[in-house]
Amino acid sequence: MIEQVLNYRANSQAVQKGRRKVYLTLTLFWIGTCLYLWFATRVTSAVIGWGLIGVLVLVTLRYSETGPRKIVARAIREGKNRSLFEPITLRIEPDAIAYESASGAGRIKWAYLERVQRTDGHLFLYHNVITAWTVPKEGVLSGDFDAFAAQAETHFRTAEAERSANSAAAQSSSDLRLVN
Amino acid sequence: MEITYQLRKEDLLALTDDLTKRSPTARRIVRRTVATSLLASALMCWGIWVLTRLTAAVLMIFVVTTLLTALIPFRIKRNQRRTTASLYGEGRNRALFLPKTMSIDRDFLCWSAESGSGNVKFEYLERVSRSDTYLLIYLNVRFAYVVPRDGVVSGDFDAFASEVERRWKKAMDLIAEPHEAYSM
Repeated sequence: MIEQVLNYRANSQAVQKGRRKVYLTLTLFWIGTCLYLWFATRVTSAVIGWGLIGVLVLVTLRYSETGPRKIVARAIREGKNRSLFEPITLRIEPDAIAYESASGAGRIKWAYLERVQRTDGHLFLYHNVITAWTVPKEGVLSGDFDAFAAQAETHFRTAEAERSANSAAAQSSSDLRLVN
Repeated sequence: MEITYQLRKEDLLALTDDLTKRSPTARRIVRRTVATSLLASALMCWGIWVLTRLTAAVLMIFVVTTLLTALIPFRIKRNQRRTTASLYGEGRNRALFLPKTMSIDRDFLCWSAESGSGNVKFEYLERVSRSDTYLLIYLNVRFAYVVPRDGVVSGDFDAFASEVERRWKKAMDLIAEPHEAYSM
């Protein structure tokens, strides 16, 4: 689950924009305070010291990998998440992906999935931009992770292509009606 | 008993607000940011005072930075809402904004839409949270079904929300005290 949250955050322009905004605000704050310190005191060493602290804070925030991971892990531990950590069976059907676990069952059509993304250790089947089924390669109890991931990607791409073709056909037929 | 509803983008912010309000982790981040900012401003003021001895100027800077720090919780909340709105704007979210029908069938909460269908046992729900305008049915600590009162196409919002709450509480009681519940 942590991997999934980090994955959507890494892929999201909005999240990246938010982070850039925080860095920009902090940078401006430090530049402003350094300028003020300089004009108020003319003590170069104090200004340089304060500036270095600012650079350190920014670098730590920018390159800290553990920060977001810790926050997500802590947030997840707040709940019981009983349905989340039950074994779940995912089954590929021609038009949908079906799931079944002790907590319940269901199916979602391929055409309505947001995206299918595969990393070295995980397969993410996104229902929308934020939520996804996360299939960890090391957590597979039965079945072939790679074959499943490849099939899921193929079905998703086929559904996408069909959907695009259908909307193109609908567009051209409406164009014809307009001409007539 | 069933209800049919349709989400709008702004309804998803209700979930963000509820998560921010209830999550101890989110509250801790806000507290930590405020405390760090206050400490930084106090340190900066002390440094300036040591170097300049301009008490009035330092006091003024401290008051301004404290006021700015007091605004941090509101800014964080606003930024989270903005980021969430932009985040949902990035995707197609085809399944999210379709009309969805939710129903209660014995021990299960069921949903169906053009995109598919599914069910979940009440005992596996994380939490049910209800306000005047929304019913939030948490599947886990992060994800919830958001049922907006204004988005209800058919069915009775209040009756459905009450029934979901009642069944969820009953399921939780069964988990907490199974022997007592079975002997009843």
